[in-house]
Amino acid sequence: MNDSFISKQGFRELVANAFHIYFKNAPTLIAICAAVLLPGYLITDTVGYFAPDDAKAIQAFDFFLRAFLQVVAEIFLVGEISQAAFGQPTSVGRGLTRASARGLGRLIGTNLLALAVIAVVVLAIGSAGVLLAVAHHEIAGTLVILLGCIAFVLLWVRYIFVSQVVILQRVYWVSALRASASLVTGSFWKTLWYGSVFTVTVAFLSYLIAAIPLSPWSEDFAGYWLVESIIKNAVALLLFVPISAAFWTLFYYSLRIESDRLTTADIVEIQSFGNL
Amino acid sequence: MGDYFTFDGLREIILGVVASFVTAALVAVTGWIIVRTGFGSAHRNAQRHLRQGRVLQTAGDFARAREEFETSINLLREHPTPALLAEAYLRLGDTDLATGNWQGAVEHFKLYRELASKKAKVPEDLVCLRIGRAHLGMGNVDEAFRFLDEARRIQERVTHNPLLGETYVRLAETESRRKRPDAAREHYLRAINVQERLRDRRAEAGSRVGLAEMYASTGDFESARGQYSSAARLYRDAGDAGTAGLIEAKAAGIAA
Repeated sequence: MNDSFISKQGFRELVANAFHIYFKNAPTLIAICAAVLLPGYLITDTVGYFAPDDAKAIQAFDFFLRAFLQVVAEIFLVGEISQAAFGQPTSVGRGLTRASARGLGRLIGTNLLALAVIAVVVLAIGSAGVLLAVAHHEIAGTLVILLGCIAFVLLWVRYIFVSQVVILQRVYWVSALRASASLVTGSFWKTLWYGSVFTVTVAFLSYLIAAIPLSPWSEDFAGYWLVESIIKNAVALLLFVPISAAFWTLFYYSLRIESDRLTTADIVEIQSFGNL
Repeated sequence: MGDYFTFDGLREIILGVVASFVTAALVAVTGWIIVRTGFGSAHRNAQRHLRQGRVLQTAGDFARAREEFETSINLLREHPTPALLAEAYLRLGDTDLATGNWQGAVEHFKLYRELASKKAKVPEDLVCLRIGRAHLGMGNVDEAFRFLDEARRIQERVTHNPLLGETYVRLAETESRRKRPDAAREHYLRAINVQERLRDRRAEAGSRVGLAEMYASTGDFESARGQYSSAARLYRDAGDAGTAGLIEAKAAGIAA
């Protein structure tokens, strides 16, 4: 007998159910993640290895590209996690083909649009802050930079459900951004609180796992960085990304129920056409 | 940290962010080209018609939605893509259900079943539910019960399955028409239980109206009035004051 997790849930339930879904469907979710994430992370790690240690451009490149890759992986994961949340079996092939059938360019493009909005707003405010600091207005500059941080948090929470919206509601581009923002409206603090606690906890857990010396070679070995990169990514991120995707997908359903936006007809539509 | 608050630091960060976006855009475009070249223009046209039909169907323009789905099916018959053709038949069947073309609905759902592949298929319970609804529309209550009960059997394998709400309602309607009020009441109550958990107020109100009508038909007017009042309150909570008024009038009619 399988369980369905489509219900209004509190934080503890969401976390427990996200882990339950992850452990029950681990091979499928890890395989989907590996197919999408490992080649991408290998590229960013290679660029990072050959770049000078203090290259800020590389750090920014690495940060945003990793965020982007995580979002792309989430696109492929959300459909299968939704299936699992309905108590249905999951499959790697279906997970990969579902996203392709929706139009990969459109799915990635919509998420890229959300990331671009966040990056442009935060960079614009941040640049103003830096310019003020350079012009010897340190306090004003710090306050503006702080404003940039607030803008980042605000936009991150507003666009957190874009992957769920494009896959499960089949809404794209600006409409998807609006749908995600509208779902969060009225539950902003709850989403921020749940999201922050969950993200920090899982990131810390991933960091602890990645800190365990798993490489059989010493640091003197020429390809040590490559082995370390593969092991760290495999261990930490293949855990972090699927569990996060499960948490956010369950939270998406929970918020829709809480805000009276999930009808029986919606559920029939999602389950009927979700696999096509 | 202080290095970041300089012109050079800022320039480098912006450069890095722009580079990451260019790389991401390249990945997206490459993905789009790979997927796009995998299908011919007929496939893309069919997909466009299917999408357009879905929009029209959602807007309630079923005649034009039907035309779009039929065009899509004609294109896909010449250049078969099983998953897409299956979706087109299913959408066309749903349009038939919405317009009361019960025979057409059964035919299209059967065509869907023949095409459904392992990689892309609608769960069997939802196909049974649709075929059951079509038979109920045609008045084949025994056949409807057979399909709906099969849907229920599959769905009950999952605890707290939210899809059961719809199935129980259809089963209750079938049982009402089979003159089995006790079984109908049981299914309505189960449906209400599922709909309450989902907070689907309109669906719950609909079930309560069905239950009230069932009570009224058996002469239990007190229970009928109670269910009508609950339904009216739910419709009002959902922002549908018009329907709430109609239901209250019905309740008052019973009281009289």
